[in-house]
Amino acid sequence: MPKIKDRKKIENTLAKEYSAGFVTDVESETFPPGINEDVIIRLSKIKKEPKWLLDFRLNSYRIWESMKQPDWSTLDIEPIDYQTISYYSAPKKGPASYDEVDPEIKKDFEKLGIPLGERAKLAGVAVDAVFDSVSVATTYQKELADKGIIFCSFSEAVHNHPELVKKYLGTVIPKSDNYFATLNSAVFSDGTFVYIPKNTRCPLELSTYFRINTANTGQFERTLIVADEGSYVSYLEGCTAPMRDENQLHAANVELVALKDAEIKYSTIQNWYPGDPVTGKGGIYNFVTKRGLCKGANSKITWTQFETGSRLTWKYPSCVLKGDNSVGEFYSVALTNGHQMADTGTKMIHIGKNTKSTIISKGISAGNSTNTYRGLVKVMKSATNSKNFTACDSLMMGNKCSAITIPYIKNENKNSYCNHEATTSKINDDQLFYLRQRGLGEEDATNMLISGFCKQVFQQLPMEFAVEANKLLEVSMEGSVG
Amino acid sequence: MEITNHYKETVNLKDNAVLNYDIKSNASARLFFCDHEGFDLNINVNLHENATCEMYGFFKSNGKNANVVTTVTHNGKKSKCDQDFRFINKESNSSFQGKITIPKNITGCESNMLNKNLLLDTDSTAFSKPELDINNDDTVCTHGSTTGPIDKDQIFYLRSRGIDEQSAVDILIEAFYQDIKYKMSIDQ
Repeated sequence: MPKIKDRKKIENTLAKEYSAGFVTDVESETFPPGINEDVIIRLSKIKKEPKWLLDFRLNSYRIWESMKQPDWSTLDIEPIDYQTISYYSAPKKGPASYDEVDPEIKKDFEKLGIPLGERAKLAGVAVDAVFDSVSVATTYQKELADKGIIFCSFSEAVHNHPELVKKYLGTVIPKSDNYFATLNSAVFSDGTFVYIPKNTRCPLELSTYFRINTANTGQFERTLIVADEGSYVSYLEGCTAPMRDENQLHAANVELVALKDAEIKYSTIQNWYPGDPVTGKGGIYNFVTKRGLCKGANSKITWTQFETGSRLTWKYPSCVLKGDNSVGEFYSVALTNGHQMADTGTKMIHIGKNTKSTIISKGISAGNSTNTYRGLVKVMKSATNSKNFTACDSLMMGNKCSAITIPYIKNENKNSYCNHEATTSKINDDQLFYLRQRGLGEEDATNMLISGFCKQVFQQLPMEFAVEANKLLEVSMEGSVG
Repeated sequence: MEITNHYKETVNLKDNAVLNYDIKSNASARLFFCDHEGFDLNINVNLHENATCEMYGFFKSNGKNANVVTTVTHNGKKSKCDQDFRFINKESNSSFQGKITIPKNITGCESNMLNKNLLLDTDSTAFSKPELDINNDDTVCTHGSTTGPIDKDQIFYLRSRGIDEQSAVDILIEAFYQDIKYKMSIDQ
């Protein structure tokens, strides 16, 4: 046990509030709570959507009505009343260009340290900012357009590039995929669309920031990234929300399509409001469906994620390795503290020949939290000479947390290898002793060991994000030692 | 039946067998499972304080499916458990589902689980689901699972020593469960 002095310090840091938990005072137009076909028709009308998209939404809604919320996860979900959620919220003043963005919103994103204006140039990142249900600003569009790259909000894409959206929407995550994905297909409000033309290497990191501001709204965004033959793109995603006592739902769909020789790198730093650390009240329900399709030969999709926030997390970024020689990678650090619960992992489905996949998953649980890894590796009969390697390690801090590992490995091909290994333990006392002996405090030593534990994953993050991730890790772990 | 002292017995099992083991404080048990016919087997192990359990199994099934489900619950502090299950599949499907549960407040436990599957032909499949459910931090737990064909390099090595293909495969299959066979032989 730490000394009384240390205790006090820990108590102080524990009392520290979620730093992104402020509410921005913006006049917004919000739908009254509830979902029915009229709401969807109204939503579609506001967005001036073509008929095919309205049909897509209505069909999804009809399928969703006949579905039941699944309950197989290890999460304790309080029943969600879908009629009390508002399905659309937008700042009243619609911006025509970045200069016209409501200063309050600009300030909000400044507070979060997200470069929208001149700072974007310094950081060398193109940003799309989604505030509640609407994309408020997309930077760098011109520079990207010169190369033929399309990076815009989903609604813009529906108007300007309907043929591309129509061709790929719902091809990776079908309408009837699962309860939350289907709900998203019915009511998705906005999101990001990226198209990289043939043989183009995207010169910038593309980035989207999502923020839920209004109370009682759900955020349902949809991201669609298409990398045409021989192209490369790296995409970052970050999220925050204000502190509120009630739970808010976030159900997003992310679809990636990599054609022949293309490579997509998708990185996420998720820092939704995790709920009150002591009582577990409030927080975001993060039920996300993410899936990538390696459609062409030699394509590659990499998921890198760092999950620190959300009251409940339920997501499995997956790769369908359809093209021959395609590669799927998944690097994840999931950290739960307080009363958080996470059920996360990945699915690797090998269909093409010589496909390879790597899964590195690190789970850290502290406080009263539960951290579950659930993964599927499936090698189909057609996937000759495929290889999979999985390593999932769990680190536990304190005797009130849980770490659960549930891998599913199915191999149907005689010439394919699957390897899986997992360990669960606490921080090694010898290592801690070594660092303490060198004069480091207990908290610093623990932080150092944890960042060593996560290093393999953080190396995969783009540089700016890796720095942010390390800082976030320290903040999230504060007070959990001892 | 209360078992004290050293005890050894060989049992023939029927299909769909459910075996429940309750290992008392300070006791240790070593269990071997071996089968060539293919069947469904459920093994439940309950460990009390300081108890140790080792479980080894190899299943070589020709055309018949082997399904094994193990559930190990550590109900006493400082209990230990080792599991090693190996399946050789020829025109067959194997499935292994293992679950290790360590409840809250049961500290000082150690539990390891290993599952290896060999696929010898295109009609074979292997399914593996090694689960860990750990609820306190004073625990060391590992699991590992591998699935695949016989290593081509190893076959090449033996072939280059003048051994024909079929014999080389046979030797490597033998080697695949050699550890378990060895452990069995020193026990008897």
